[in-house]
Amino acid sequence: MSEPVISIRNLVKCYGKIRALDGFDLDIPSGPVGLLGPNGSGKTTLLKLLLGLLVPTEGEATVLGFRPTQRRDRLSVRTVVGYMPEGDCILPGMSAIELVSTLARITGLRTEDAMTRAHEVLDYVQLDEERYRPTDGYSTGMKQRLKLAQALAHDPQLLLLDEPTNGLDPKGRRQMLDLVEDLGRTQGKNILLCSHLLQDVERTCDHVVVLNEGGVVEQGKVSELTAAKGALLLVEVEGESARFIEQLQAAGLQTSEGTEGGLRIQWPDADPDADRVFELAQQAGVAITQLRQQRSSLEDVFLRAVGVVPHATSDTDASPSHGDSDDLLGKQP
Amino acid sequence: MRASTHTEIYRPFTGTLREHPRRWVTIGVSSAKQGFKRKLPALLLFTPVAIGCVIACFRVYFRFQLLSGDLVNINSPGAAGITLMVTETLGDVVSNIFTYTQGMAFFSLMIVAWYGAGLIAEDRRLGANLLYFSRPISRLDYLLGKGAGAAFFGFLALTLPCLLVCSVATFTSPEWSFIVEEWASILKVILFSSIWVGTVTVLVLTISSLVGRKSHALIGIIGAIVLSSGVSTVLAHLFNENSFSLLNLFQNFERLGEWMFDRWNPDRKVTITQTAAALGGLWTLCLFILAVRVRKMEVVA
Repeated sequence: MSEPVISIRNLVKCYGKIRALDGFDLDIPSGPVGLLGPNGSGKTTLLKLLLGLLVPTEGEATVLGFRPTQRRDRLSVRTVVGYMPEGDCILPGMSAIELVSTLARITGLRTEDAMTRAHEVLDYVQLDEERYRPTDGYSTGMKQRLKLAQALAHDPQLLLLDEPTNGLDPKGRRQMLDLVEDLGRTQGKNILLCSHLLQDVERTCDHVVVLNEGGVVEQGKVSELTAAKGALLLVEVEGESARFIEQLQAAGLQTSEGTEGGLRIQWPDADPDADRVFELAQQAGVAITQLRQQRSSLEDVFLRAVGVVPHATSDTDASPSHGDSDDLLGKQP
Repeated sequence: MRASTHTEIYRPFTGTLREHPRRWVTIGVSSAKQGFKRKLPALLLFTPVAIGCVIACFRVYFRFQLLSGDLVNINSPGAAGITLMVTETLGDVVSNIFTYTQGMAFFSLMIVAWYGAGLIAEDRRLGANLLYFSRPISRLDYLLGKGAGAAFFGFLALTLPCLLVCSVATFTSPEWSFIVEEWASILKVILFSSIWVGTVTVLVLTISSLVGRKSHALIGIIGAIVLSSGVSTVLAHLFNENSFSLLNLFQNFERLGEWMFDRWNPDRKVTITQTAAALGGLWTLCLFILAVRVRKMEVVA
């Protein structure tokens, strides 16, 4: 693995008696990384610490070689980091071009560079003629794109994006995700994307970190996390299914009723043995008419990580999953 | 329809960042630029200032013309007496500047209040602090920048007109006598107007940092001035105690001006030390509040 972009060691942040961050170690690799966690899990506190806005109670963090936890580096780190805040934020009375160029100059660009750069990034986020209008009258989508533009103004090595698709309509959301995906995957920017929308993270990020109650409860590549936590088989049968369920449970598999009358079988590992399922069906005297594998979604990974069981193991709490399905009938012996 | 040359590709920045940019200057300049966008308030607020400045300049000009004998033949009978009487009425340069500063104190306060009231309040309301403090600026940079933005208009209202009066005095005084003999007055003028503008700016920014809207800040500033002046007058009358006048910002500056321009009234019960202590206390209180509020703005960002 290449040098981590962000490295955290035993980071603790207390607000009075509340431990917002509970002393964890974390290495965030280069590329687009999703930061997930329920409300109050410490995501915002972590971002503030990485920007040097907060001083940790204990521990160390390194961002691209700078230590935002140290006094001498807390301003320097902001020259290599671009931050897109979650809430609405504009500079009063300014147009988009003034806003971006002013912030670029504050970061250290010369006046003429700042103006050129402001036009470039506003072109990139597709704020065309609107860039000359006062930002007070901007729609939510335009404000979000403007926030992304200002974060890009000084061409930072790391982008901290806090809920970039917040409040956007489907079209605006797609535009924003296209931009984030382009920045992360095509332009090779390091991105830490903080979002509640797991589909957004799944689409734009290669790596994910899940925070809960001030600690890291899960991290890794999205592809590995969604693959390694077992699989779900969706089965439709002809015949007496009760006996088939008994056979499955006797074989140590968890089952539940599917949404369309089928059966959901929770397989303990990522590579389900379809032959074994057919074997059990044969023993129960039923015929399998359809067999599909549903892989874990990021939502499943997230829910499992924060202590909520995503797949029901009883008949009563069966819930639909949002993962991808693969038809496994081809494995029928 | 997009032009065919329109390309929405990401272009990496190929330049370099300045090593020691004066970030507060950028904030100050952008704050001042925003102020100039609205023409009508500028016209209304600066008109009395301009009139006052023209009158002061004319008085100084007329005085030196009289003294040089260009306007009146000083050898004609009675002319010397009339000239002396008129020049005494017109007053010397420093008394004209002193009168101007006292007369324009209220207007300069209003100007700084109008342009400075929203500088922090609106930043908080619109979340601008999120954008500022994600940049490499310290809280001091932010405060200096905002202060410079507001003080710039105070400079236009008070310091610049005083310097214009000094310029007129310099060019019309015979043998450059004003600048040769009274150069220290120019420094005193700059110092005095800077103290007034600085104090008013700090007060305005403090009240701006405590509220969430420009209109609320304006009400707060006017309320604070009216209340402190009223309370000090009432208490001084009730208790027959002049030290209550230390609560009055305008009276403090009147005393400071008298002291600086050698016009101190010996009958005053309040000393210059007490006046300086009152102003120092106001500065300390305001800077403490500003430090706390701006720190909160940074952490909230």
